[in-house]
Amino acid sequence: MDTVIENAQLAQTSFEGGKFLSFQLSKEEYGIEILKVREIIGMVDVTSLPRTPDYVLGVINLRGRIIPVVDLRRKFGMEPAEFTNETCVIVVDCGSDADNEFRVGCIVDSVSEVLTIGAEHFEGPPRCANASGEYINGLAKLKDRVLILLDIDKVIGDIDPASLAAAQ
Amino acid sequence: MHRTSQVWRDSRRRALKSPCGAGRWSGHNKPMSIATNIASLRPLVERFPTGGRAVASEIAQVMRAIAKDDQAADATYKALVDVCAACGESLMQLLGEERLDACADEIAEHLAELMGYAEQLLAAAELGEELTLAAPKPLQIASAGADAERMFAESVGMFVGNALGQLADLEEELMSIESAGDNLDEVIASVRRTVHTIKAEFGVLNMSEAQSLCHQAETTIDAVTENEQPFPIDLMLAVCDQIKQFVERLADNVRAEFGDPEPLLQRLRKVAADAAEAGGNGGEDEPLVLEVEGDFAESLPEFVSEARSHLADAEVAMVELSSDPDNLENLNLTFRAFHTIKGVAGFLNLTPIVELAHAAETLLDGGRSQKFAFDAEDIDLVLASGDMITQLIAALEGQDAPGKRAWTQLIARLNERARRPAESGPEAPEQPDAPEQPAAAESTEPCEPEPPAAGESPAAVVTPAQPAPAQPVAAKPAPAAKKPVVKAARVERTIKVSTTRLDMLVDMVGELVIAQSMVLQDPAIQRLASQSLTRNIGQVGKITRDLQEAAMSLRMVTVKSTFQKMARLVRDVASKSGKTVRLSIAGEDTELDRNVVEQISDPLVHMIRNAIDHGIEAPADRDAVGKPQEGSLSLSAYHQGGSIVIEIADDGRGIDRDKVFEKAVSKGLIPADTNPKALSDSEVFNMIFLPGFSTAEKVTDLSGRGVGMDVVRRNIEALRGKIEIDSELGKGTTFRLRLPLTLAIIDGMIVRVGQSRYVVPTLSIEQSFRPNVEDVHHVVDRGECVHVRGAVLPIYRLKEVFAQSDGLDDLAEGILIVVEVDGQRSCLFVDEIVGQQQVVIKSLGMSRDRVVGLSGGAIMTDGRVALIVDVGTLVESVLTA
Repeated sequence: MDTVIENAQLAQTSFEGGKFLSFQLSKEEYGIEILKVREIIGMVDVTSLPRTPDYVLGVINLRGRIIPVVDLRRKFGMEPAEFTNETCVIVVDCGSDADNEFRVGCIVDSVSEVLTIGAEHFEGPPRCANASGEYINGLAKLKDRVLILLDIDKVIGDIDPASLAAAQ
Repeated sequence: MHRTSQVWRDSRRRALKSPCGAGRWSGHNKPMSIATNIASLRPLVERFPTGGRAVASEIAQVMRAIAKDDQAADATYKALVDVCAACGESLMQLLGEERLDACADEIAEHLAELMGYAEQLLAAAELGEELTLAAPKPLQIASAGADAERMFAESVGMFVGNALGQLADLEEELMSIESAGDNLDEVIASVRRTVHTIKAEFGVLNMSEAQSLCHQAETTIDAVTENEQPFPIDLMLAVCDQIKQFVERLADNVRAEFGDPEPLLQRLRKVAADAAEAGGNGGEDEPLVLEVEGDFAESLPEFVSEARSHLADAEVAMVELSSDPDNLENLNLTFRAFHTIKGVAGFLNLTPIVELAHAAETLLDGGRSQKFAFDAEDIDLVLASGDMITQLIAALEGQDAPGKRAWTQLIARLNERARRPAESGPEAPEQPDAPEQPAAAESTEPCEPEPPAAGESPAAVVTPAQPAPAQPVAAKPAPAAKKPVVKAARVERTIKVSTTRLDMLVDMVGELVIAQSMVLQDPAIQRLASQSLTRNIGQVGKITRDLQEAAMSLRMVTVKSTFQKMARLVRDVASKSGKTVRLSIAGEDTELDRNVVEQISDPLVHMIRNAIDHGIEAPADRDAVGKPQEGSLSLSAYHQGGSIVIEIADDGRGIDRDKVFEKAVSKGLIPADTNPKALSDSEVFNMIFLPGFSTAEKVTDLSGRGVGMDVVRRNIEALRGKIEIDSELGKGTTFRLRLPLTLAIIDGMIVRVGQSRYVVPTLSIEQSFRPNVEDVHHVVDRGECVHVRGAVLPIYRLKEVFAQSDGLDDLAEGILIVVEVDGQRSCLFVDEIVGQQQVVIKSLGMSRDRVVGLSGGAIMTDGRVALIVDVGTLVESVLTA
């Protein structure tokens, strides 16, 4: 572990710092906690699920296990894009424990790198956050760019039975 | 990186200066003032978060030094000293348990608070002021208790699994007592052993109520057998039930309450007392006397606690030995335990304990030097000795001492067992001095068998109720008639594996099968005309299939335990309803998926209750119609065409078709003007599954409310099974449950709609056909219908239900599939039927109610996912939409 993070832990408990996976969606760069990420796979065949919101693209076969996939572009109200060689599915594990484990694939334009972000880079979510601002944990200011840190639990938790029924 | 090197540096620094460091802070040679100690603490506390163990241990030492300081007695510093002492001890404990990291934050916080307080206190003391600030609370390590709790929960978890198996065994054994005949003693001995094992396990977990109940049960069994009284089967079953319920509660909550054992304890005691009286030797028993002379009284508590721990070890070892008879280490351990107890008890002059421990030790010594095979009866005896010593020890603490007669008998039995001859053989010489020196007298060469001397034959058995059934060799008086030693059948070794891991394995194997077929079908591979490659690929395919089969079979268990439960139920229900019923069981080794086995238990209970309560007539009625008084009920399981059939057949009065029909009409379940002939027998019989349907004239506490059969049907349908009824009035009824082998696999029809594939469970399909345009009608507001053999069925287009953009619109080009769910028939319209296949059902990874009309997904041979249609919810959702 890095000293930077440790100091951050002592100084500020609201943001713990740590490693983040950064990925591209449209022009922006986002980050999600690396501990939530299970694996990254290339784009695969998706079986569409009838009667689900449009951002639930369908289900895929992840080595014998069927998991739903979500198109993050659609989820965040962006124009859907053609899938390219760069398009990736980030498989994330949500849920509190083994019983409530909820594994979902998130389709993103491309995956960039794993970054260590300390508290000194962190800034709370912008005041002007729009409707989808609730999915944002905050921003990370790096040397030459800004990373939007997603609260992936909230993004995924949105596909709850309750909210799905409401969407129909 | 950073932290590691820091730790390394710290530990090195500490190693370098520790000789003087320890002296400096220990406070023995040259006490330092609290102020100096606190000052030296400051840099350590600052380094603590990164310093790891080394710093923590230094802090702990300073804390201890403060606690021992000369100034510590000073009232000014009292609070500080107390907190420091507590902190030091907590740190040492954490270091010892390797749990420092887990609590590091907590400690850092506490240390900071402590330092702040200490420095203010010192500053105030220097100025001669009173400090108003309160001392921080002593460090509490909360997780220590949690840790112990977790370990406890783990051991309870292990225990629950074992105990349920043992209780099932016990129940079976109890049930078999009635029919045991010549084997009675053997069966009772085995019951006693099982009770004892369970008791020991309760003891290990400190569950004293359960333990005491087991203990009394054991005592009662002893009393009954010794006095040759009838065995109280019902009472023992009640005991077994209470314990079982407790264990089941434990599975949910490790701290579950046992409930009140007193009613059963009283009944057990009464039976024991009655038995003793009937045996003609009650009342004259006197308790053993244990006296400790004054000089030794103070070492008594130590002896008591040590002896208890030794006995506990011995008991565990003995229980282990019974499952692993070849492990001599367990014998040695037990021997040592008894030997130690004997030694100390001898020193304290506790003669009864010494004599008993000596006798047990002698028997154990015979076993460990392999003079004779140490068998189950020996284990029982040693366990009984352990119990007796436990009682004697309890007597030292003021409880009632055990009776002298039991003690004498036990010692006599121990001696007699220890004196028994070695495994017999023809040529070894007789040893006349054997009886005096039982442990040393027998052959010193265990490999060389010798014949039993006539005087040593079991003619000398002291307690005739326990004739050593498990020792065929020793029990033979004439060497000529000796039989080869029959070893007990080896129990197949098993290990417990979590179902999650098992499912993971099955998943991965399934994936392997798909990957294998993808490789096989790869055009690039198929272009290669290599014979060896084809052969090898074929071999891989074969292994893969075997592997899949093996993986699937891991989940399979026999229906044996469920059937055994039913045996018990038959017995109870029959005796409650005053009927005699003989149960015959067949095919109990038939294997089913674990989940299925668990879920058929309830339906079986209802059906068996019904069969006995309604089906089988009272003995007098049976006599009147010329049937044997004893009713017969058969429970059997067998394979038939890819599914498992469980059959419950009775020879009772059968189902009265007319009565069922009348009842159905009167309940308004069928129109009053229905022609009774229009319905088939099975249609009429199936009405008994409707909720609230009961033809029973009176409701008993066993059945008749009309709930049971509804439960049965629901449970069986949840398992994707079917029920069939055969019944002949006056002859009997047969229920047949047809169940899938496993829940994970279904037979499915693969259908295509546009680009998508769906799986429709074959079980719900009746037929499929291409409709004629003239048979299709449009009903206003009700959608489309089609005429099928006189019936008009609604049509659901999968394309529309699932809002697909592609797929056929013209009914005449596609296929209609007639499906039936809950007696409702309807048609699904699809483009075409691709084929029929067994598929593994998988969850869609989302909660079920999110995807209406689908029950899951299946991975097809090409690795893509096909959705499995749930006809029931699909129809429902269309109707409600």
